[in-house]
Amino acid sequence: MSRRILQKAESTPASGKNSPRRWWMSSGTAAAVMAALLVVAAGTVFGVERFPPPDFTSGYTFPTTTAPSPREGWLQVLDVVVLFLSLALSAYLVLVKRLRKYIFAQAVFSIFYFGFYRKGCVCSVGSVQDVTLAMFNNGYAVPWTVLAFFLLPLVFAVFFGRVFCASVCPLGVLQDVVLVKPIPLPLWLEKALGLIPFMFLGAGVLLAATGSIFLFCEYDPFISLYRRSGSYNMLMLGLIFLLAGVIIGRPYCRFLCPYGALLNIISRFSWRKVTLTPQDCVHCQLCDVACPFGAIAEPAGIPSEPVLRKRRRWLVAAIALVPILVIAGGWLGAQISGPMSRLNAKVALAWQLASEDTGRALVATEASQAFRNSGRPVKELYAEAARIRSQFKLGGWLWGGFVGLAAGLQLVGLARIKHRDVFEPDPATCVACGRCYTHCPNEIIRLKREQRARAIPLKLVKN
Amino acid sequence: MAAPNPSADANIGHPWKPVAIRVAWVAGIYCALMVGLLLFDYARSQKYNPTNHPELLALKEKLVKKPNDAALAAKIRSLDLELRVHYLQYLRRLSQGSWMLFFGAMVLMPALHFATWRKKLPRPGKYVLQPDLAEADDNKARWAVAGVFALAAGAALYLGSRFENPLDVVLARSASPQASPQQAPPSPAVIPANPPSAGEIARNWPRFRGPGGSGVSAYTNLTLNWNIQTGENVIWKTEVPLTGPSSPIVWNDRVFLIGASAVKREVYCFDVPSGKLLWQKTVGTPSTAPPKDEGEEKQHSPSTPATDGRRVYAMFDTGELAAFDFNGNQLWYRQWGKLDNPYGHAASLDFYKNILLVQLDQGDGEDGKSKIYGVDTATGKDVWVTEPRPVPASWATPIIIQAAGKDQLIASGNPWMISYNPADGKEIWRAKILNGEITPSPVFAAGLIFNANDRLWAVKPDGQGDVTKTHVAWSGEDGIPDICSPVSDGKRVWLLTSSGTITCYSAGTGKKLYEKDLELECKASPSVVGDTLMVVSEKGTVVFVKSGDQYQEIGRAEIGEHVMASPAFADGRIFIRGKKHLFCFGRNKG
Repeated sequence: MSRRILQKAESTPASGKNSPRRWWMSSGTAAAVMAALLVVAAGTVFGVERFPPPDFTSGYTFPTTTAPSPREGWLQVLDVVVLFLSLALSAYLVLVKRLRKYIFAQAVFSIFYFGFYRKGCVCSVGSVQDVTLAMFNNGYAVPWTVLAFFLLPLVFAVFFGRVFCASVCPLGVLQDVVLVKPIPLPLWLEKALGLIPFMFLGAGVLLAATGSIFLFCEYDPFISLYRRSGSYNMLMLGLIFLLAGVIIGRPYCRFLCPYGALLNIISRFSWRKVTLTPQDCVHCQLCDVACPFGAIAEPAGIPSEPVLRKRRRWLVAAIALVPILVIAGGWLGAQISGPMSRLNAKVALAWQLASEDTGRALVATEASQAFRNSGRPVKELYAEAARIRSQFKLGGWLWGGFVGLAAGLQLVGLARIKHRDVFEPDPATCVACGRCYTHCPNEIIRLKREQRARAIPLKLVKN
Repeated sequence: MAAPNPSADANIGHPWKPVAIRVAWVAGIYCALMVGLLLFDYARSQKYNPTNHPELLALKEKLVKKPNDAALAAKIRSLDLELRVHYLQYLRRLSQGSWMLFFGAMVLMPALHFATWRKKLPRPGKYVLQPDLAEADDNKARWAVAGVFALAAGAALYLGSRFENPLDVVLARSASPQASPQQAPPSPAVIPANPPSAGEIARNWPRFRGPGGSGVSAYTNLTLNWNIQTGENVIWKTEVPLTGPSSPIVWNDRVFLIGASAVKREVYCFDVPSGKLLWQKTVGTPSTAPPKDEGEEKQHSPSTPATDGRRVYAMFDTGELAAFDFNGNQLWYRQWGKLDNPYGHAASLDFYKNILLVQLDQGDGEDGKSKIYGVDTATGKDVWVTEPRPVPASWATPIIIQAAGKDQLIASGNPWMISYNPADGKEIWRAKILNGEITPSPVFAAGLIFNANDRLWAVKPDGQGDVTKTHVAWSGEDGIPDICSPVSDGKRVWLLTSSGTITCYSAGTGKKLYEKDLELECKASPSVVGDTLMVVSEKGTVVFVKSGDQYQEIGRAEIGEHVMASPAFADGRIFIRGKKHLFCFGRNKG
């Protein structure tokens, strides 16, 4: 069989070895095999089930259920140290060494350490909520390790760009590893979907600030894969993202990750960022072809005068639209704050009790029955729920305004007249994976020059 | 720069491609084998699942019935242990297998990557060659971003508009100074000792579908036209604290309703002139937990109360019956316990002189649970109880008629329509004509008793014993309702199905006169006001039809809310209960 495979691999061009049809067949086969394996791997997770204990009549008493003890102090320190070192190493590999293979190797390490060993928790994505809750709730003290996980990647982003995404974030690198045959997405789709992370970020912050739920953790698609345990819906969500990730580069990072939204903003102003060789750019576009995330910005060319005029008009309109979108977004956020407030446990319980009292609910829940049996006055609960709802209303205004601002600035960015004349990575969307380095011909020449310089030391020749 | 021709270049694969292909095959076969084994093991493990093993569940059910059976308990423990051992072994194999599969996938993925890798070839920048294309792409992107924002806005508006918050209702209630009509202890009402006269009964609307359960209004000075938006002919509209499908009843200047939720049952009294809620009283204990086997669609309090002008009587599906005076003082209370009725008790109350009639049809018809109770209106004690009725659970309301020189209590069940003496509960005659689930109530008009169920039956009420073969005047088979009771003006009988089809028969001959599909869903029974048939749809559309041998619609009006209850009529007033409010329509200045 192996000889037959070799003969197939070495067939002449006339036999269509490199034909598009063959490309699609091989890609399709790879993707289909991957899909089948991922689905079945997920099935194994159903093995981790809970079932009720047997009914003993021999007088056996169950041991008291205890919660697992917290992670040892020194291990928590170790986690932060590993995170710091990983970020530092990632920055070095991305900006100095500039070799994809080392970045990939570190990514694999992150999958095992932050993913399988630490089971995806604490992670920087979820830490946003802890910090938010601590800011708005005096009774919640955020652990310093969580604070470190929140701050360190942001601090590194200020200096070095999205090096966290490059090879440290366990969610991102898992998608990077399964990326086999990326297909480029049209610009309009990227920009449209690019608004969702900002919506998600705002929603998660609002829900955390009101002490409701940790939205990012509840909807972390890969946590169930790392823990090999989880609800069916979350498992399927993770699989869908991974399957999509086979042909779409990092779909979660680009179109959902709320921490990525923060890094997107900060990286635009970072001190150092991923660059190619701007003075030597020959417009071969190999970097753009290589980048699976659509993060390479193309040179703009010189548009015609009518197009320039149209663009200026769009720019003025977009700038004028920003405050309108902020206000409209805020108002819409306030409208949705009512239904959203039901995600808060107290509001949900008050809502259930009120539904029963007004006949809208036909069946009592265990929670409402337990509350009634507790004897607590229901008016207290109603008052508390009303207070939380007013917080949601204010938060809804802020959330909606934020989303409106993001949409408005997105429109301004798309209307801006660009003066780029080389291919360069967009610091906001570039996840510093290093694929462009290995494809840029001038980058390759530069690297070889450096290697030769190290191998053959230059000596000053004196006449 | 000329575009490269991929087919001309033979070396665009990765240098590791040949090895990668071999590794991919090996890893792929390995992973496929692991998948197969895991699937096979999973399928095999299902028969050892201790949570839903049929034999174990069956044994446990037996143990519930025989809790002292030691041998059975030992068998359960032994089987449970065996299943757990097998299942835990499966979980261990699963854990090992999934790790092996994972590592196989870790080898397969990079192998696939290198096997499918193709050298990237340069191509000219599209925007450099076509600068105006950038504007076209940006333009599409701008509209796409606007589209996403618009979509999000639409979703926010939709969710916000659909959001009904009962919290607002209860918070508003607790903030209102008049929120608690229960606060002032009412003084006892003076109750006449004598029962109401026929005239008093005829002038009021004392039970479900009015006097005799006919659905015919004694008053014709009613407005058949109103406008909820402008308030034209809307005298008042008052919020009802708890919702329910039971109908309003009226006595003089009082309108009574009941409402219930999963945990609370209440009786309400409204003032006819102003619509003000005069009092609301709780029946039973509010924290009583509802039965666990209720479905989400179950309606509470479908049974309409009754009043004889002295007291108001209310029956709930929890088996509770209570009587209040007109000032809201509870006079007596009794409890039958949970009733064996699959859809919940729904038969409304009626009364005969000083006897309150409670039809409690339950069970399967052979267990003797179905009975009619004649209860003393003053004390709540039994005056008489019928023999066990040979009928299963039913939901129709009995009626009192005067026919063949005597008062008769007509009660419907499957398969018997039975006539009793309302004074002592003794059976007079019975006809075996009914079938299926008995929900529409009988009506008496033109000297015949009409009962629509499976077929429309017209029965002569002057028999004795089993009159199945002798006293059926006629029967019809079209337009048979499943919920709404029929109505008759003495010349015609109208049936209304829950899908909104009206079928009109001649009361004397049974000839079908017309059939009309209103294309409206209806739960409320139709009524007759003068020479107009009134139909209320579930969505709150009221259709007025001229009563005649042909269908002729006069007009329509809207309630603005869902309606399941049948209307009540008083002098110049129509009362309709919506999902949230009680409406009073009548001529006003608008």
